[in-house]
Amino acid sequence: MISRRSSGTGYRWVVPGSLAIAILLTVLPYPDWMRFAVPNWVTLVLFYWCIATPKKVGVGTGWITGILVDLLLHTLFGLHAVTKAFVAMIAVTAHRRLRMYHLWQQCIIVFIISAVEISFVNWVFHLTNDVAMRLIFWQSALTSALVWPVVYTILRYARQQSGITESR
Amino acid sequence: MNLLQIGTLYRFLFLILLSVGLMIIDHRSDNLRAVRSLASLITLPFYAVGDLPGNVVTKLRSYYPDDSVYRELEELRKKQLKLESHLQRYDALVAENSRLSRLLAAARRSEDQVILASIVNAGLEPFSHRIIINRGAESDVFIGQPVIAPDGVLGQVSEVDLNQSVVTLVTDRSHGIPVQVQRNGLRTIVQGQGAADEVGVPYLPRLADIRKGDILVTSGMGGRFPAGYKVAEVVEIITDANAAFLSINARTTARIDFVKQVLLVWDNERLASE
Repeated sequence: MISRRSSGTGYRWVVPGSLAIAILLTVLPYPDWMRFAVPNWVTLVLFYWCIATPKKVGVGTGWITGILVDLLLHTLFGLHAVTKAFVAMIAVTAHRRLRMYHLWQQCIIVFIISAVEISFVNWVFHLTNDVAMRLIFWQSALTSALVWPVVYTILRYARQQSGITESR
Repeated sequence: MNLLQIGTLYRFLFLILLSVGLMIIDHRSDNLRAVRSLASLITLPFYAVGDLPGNVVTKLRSYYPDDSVYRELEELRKKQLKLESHLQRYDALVAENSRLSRLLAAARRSEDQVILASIVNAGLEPFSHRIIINRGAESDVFIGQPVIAPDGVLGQVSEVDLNQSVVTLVTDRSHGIPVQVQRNGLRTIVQGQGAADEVGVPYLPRLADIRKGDILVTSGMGGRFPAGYKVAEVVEIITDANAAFLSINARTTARIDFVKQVLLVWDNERLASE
């Protein structure tokens, strides 16, 4: 409860902490049947912080997080960096409108953004590794949209507890 | 458009250029390999934490042994006996083989050197079939090195960091491996299909002598995999009168999902010739 009064210090831990947890959830070993159904945790967390605090968390944070994801997933340098920067760009530029939206409307936006992200990553994989595109690859866009309300609620609670206020 | 939006857009455009540049450099050259090696210091903790749940479960199991442990022990003992008896014959065979090859004045085939590596539990990009193992440049792992499991070929090393490396599995779409049918020596290629344990044998003509149940072993062609390791077993052959090639589905003999430990192989023949 002390942290609630000292507003602002929460950024130092809550934002990087939640992003780190999201990255960890990404590299966790999942069983084979849910290979493509794992929600895009990093995108969800990044999306939340960009909408809530667009002045502090933006394309730069997204890009650096993406580079970390690239390192961990052993993908091309800059591949996830550019997609996460894209997610941040959309969220920051439209944060006012997005905050007005209902949770289910936000779910649709999350679905579209994830689908675009997957398309790009998949396309680059297609170019570099000759991986054929299959419809099942877009499964995680659906699951991301489905878990968005949960992620949103948890992160909003974390934000309020740590005394971070929504910036205009 | 307010200031925040314009600033964000400019920054995003700059980052796009930066990322595309990075991707091209990473794809075309090895210049960024050093950066990756260094960065494995940052990534190691993530893998370690990700590896924890599985390890904790195994640890707990070892503290609270149940019937299955004793059963497993019993089975392993039986297997050990069987293997030992096989091994006796094996020694005799090796001796006989070397005698025969001396008679034929052929190069003697020495045993391959191997080291053990553990698979790090980590989910990589789902589009590709790759795993991480806990051996790297410090153990002299090299790119293209064959990786095998006790019951078959797993894949080959595609990236080497200091203490870990990335293995591309035989099931990966970009992975092909020269094989021959164990029964009759028919040579062909096994190609990954991006499915869990299925691989394809795409280039066999319709009249090729191959049957359901045939074991495909590495042929040693191409010089990357030493000859004689099991790769896959033919499970289905579809003959289409209109197609030039047979459509063959095979299953990898290595049970990739269940493997915990793998072997890295140094092919002595190749080392000697280099």
